[in-house]
Amino acid sequence: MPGALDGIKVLEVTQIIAGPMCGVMLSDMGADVIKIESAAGDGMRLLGQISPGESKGFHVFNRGKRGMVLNLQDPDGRAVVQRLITEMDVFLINARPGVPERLGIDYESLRAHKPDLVYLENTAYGPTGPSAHRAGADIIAQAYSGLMAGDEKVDEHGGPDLITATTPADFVAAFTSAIAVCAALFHRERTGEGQKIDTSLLAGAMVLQNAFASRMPVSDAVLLDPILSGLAAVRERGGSYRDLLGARGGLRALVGGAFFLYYGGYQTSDGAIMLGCVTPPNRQQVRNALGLEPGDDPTDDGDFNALAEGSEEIVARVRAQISERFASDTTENWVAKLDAAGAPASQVNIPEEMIDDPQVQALGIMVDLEHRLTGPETMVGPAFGMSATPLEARRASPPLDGDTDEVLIEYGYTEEEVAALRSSGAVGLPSDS
Amino acid sequence: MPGPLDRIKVLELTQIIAGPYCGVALADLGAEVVKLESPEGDAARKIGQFAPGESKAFHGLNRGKRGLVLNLASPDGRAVAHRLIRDFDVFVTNVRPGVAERIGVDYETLRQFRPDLIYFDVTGFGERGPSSHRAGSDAMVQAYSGLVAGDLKVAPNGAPEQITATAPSDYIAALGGAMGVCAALYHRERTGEGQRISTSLLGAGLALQAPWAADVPVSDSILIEPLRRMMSEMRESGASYAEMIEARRSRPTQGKAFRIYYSGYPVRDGAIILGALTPQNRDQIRTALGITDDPIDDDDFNAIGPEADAVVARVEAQIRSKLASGTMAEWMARLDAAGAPASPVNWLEDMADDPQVVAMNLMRSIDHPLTGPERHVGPLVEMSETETGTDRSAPPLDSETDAILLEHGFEEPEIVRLRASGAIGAASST
Repeated sequence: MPGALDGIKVLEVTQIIAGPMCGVMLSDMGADVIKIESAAGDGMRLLGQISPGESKGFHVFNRGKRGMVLNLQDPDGRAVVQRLITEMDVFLINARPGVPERLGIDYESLRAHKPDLVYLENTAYGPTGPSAHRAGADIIAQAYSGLMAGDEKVDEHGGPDLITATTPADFVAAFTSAIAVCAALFHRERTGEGQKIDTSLLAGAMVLQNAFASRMPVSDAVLLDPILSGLAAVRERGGSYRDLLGARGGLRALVGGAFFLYYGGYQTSDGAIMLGCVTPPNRQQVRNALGLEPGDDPTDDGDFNALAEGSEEIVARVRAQISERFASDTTENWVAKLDAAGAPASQVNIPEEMIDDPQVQALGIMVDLEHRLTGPETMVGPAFGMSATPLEARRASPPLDGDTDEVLIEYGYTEEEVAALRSSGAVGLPSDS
Repeated sequence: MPGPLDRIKVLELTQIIAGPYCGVALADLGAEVVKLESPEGDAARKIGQFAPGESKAFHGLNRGKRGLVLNLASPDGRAVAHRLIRDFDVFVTNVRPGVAERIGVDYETLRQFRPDLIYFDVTGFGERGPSSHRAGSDAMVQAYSGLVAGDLKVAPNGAPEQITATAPSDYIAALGGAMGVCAALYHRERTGEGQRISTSLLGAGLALQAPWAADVPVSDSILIEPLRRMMSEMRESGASYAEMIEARRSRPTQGKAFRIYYSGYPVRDGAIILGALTPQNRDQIRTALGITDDPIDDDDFNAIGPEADAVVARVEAQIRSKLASGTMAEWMARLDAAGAPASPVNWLEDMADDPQVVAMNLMRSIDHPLTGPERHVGPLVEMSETETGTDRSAPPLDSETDAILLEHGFEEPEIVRLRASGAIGAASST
C-alpha cells in the first residue's frame, strides 16, 4: 500500500536536525526525498563520526533519502537545481536568513521555474525581527524562548543547565514544518496554488511552553505579575542568574508543590519510579496503592489552599511519607501495585536499552535498515501509523555523493552532461577525495 | 485569506495536552474544531483554576475551538455523537485504550456513519503490547522512554527528576497527529478514502531521542555496548539510581569537548548560552572571548584519549572565568559581532513582550467570553497563501452545545429533551 504522499517529490538543502527530520517524516509518508549537500557535507556527518563522514546522528536524521552533491557557488551547480525543481513538488531549506537568496535558491527564484512549488524555510528566529539575522541552534532557542529558565535548572557553577540532552525546539520545528507541507499539499490539491511556509526554532520553543508564556490578566494579576515585578527588582540591583531564579521560583513552587507530589520521581529500594498523575482520581489511585489513609494527604481536599500559611510544610510532610513508602519496596513491585490501581507510573528506563523493550517491540517502533557503507542498523521508525496509507522507513541515509549520478540521469541528464558537470566541479566531490 | 484547512470540520474528544494541542494546531490551520466534553469537563480546566472550570492551561490548549457537552455514557448522548459525525471530516481523541469502544466512538463505529472519516487517536503506550492497557501521561512516558535517565537528572534526594517543566512527549504526539491528519486529508482529496491514524506518547518519546535509541552496530560496539554491559552489571549488583546515573555521566564520551561550547554560563547579571555546532562556530566564540590556546578542534586531538578530560576542563574554566567577568549586554554584543551562536537566557514570563516575538507575531490577542482579554502563543507556521492562526478563545464549558446542535439539524424541542434527560449539557448544579 503506498504512503499518503506517494508520488510527491521533495528536494532539500538541509543540515543538522530541524530541516533533515522534516525530510525524514515526509519520506516516511511516501514522498521521494532527495538531499542536496555541498562537497563538505551536512555538518551532522562530523558530529560523532563512526567512519569518515558518517555519524549515527546523520544516519538517524537522513534515513529514507537519496543524496547528491552540488556546488551551489558554481552557476552550473545552481542551474542543476533550477532544472530539477521543475519536476519537484516541495523544497525544504534550513540555512541562515539570506543564504537562499545568495545561492539563488530562495522562493522567488525557484517558483519562477515551478509556479506551484511548496517551499519551506526554517530559521532560528524567523524571517523578520531584530534577531532574524542571528545564528541559531536548538540550545539557543531553548535559552532565548525562556524554556531553559522556565525549567529552573542550575549547574554546579550557578549557570543554566540544558533542559534536556535531546533537542526539543529542533524536533517541534521539524514536525510543524512537515504538518505545514502536508497542509499546503492539501491546499494545492484543492486550488492548484503553491506557497511559501516559514517556521522557526523560536516558534517551536514557544509552542512547548504554551500556557507559561501566555498572558491572561485575570489570572496573571495573582500569579504572574508578582513574578515579573520580582524579576525586575533583582535585575535593578544587578543580581545573578541564581538570584533571578530565586525571585521566580518561590511562588511557582508554592502553587505547583502539591501537583508535583504525584507528578515526579521517587527512589525505590532498587532504583527509581516516576509518577505521572494529572487528575484527582489519578492521585487517589496512587494513595490507595501506597496505603495512605484519608487524612494523610489533604492537598486534594476542597478547602486546601496552596497559597495559605503552612501549606509548604504540609506538602513537605506528604512528600516525606510518599518517599518513605517507595523506598520500602522494589521498582517492579511498585509498578505492579500502581498498575493494578490504574495509576500512571513507570520505571525509569535507559535510552540505549529501549530497543529491547517489549512494548517498543510490540509496537514495531524500531525499524531495521542496511546502510551502504556501515552495514545493518536499527532506527526509531515513523512517528505514527496510518491505516490506509502506512508509513515506511524506506532506506538508510545516503553516503555523501551517493546518488548524484543516478538522480541526474533520472531527471533527464545524459551521461555526457553528468561527466561534464562532475569534471567542472559543479556536482560531486572534488576528485582528490 | 482562509487557512489551508478551510471548511474542514473536526470533532475532538480530548483531555489534558496531547489531544487538545492537536486540535489547536488544526484550528490554526483553518479547520473548524468542536471540542466534545463530558459534563465534568476536561480535567485541564481544574489544573490551576483561576475561575470555576477555567485555567490558563485549558485556555492555551483549547483556543480556537467551540465547545459541546455530551454525556457519552448515556445512549442518547452517544446517538447525538453518531448523528453529528456525519457532518465532520476528522475525529481526534486521546482517551485510554478501550474507552472509545466502550462509549461508542471508536474508529469502526464512527466510520459506519461517515465512511471517509479521518480518525486520529493517541494513547500512552499504543494499542498493542504488554503495556498497552496502562495509564499514560507525559512524565511517566519521559521515564519509560529513557528521556529521564538519558538526561542524567537526579534530585538532591537521589530521585529521578523530570526532564522539563513542559510536556515534550505530549506535544510531539499532538504534532504527529496533526501531520497525519493533514496527510490523510491530502490522500482523501486524491482518492476519496478516509483512514485511522494512531500514535503513542511512547513513540513520541523515542522520536525525541532517535540517535540514542538507534542501534548502529559499527558505532555501538565502541561506545554503547560497554555502556549497556555496565548498566546491566550495576543493576545486578543492586546499585541505586543515583549511582547508575553517576556511572553513566563519568564514562568517556566524545561529547565532553562538544559540550563546553554548547552549554550555559553565568555572566555578571544573568546567564548566557553558547550553541556552537561546528568548528567554525567554536572559532567565532574563541574570537569573541579572546581564547587562543584551545586544541579541541586540532586534527590530532583525541576526544576519548587519556589527556582529553584535563584539556576540556582547562578550556571550560577559561570560558567560564571570561564570561563571568562581564555583563550580558557586553558579551552578547561581542558574540553577535563575531557571528557566534549565543543567546541570553530569557524569562518566559517576559517573552510575550520580547521584540523578536512581537516582530514575528508569535503571540496573538484573543478575548475569552468569561475571563476577558488574553494573549496566547500563536500558530506554528506562517504560510504565504493560506493564513494561519485563530481569534477564538477556549470554550467555556457547555457554552455552545445548543448552537452546534441546531447547526447540525437538531430541532429545539429535541435539544430541550436531550438536556432534560442529561444526554447533553453540563450537570445542572454547575
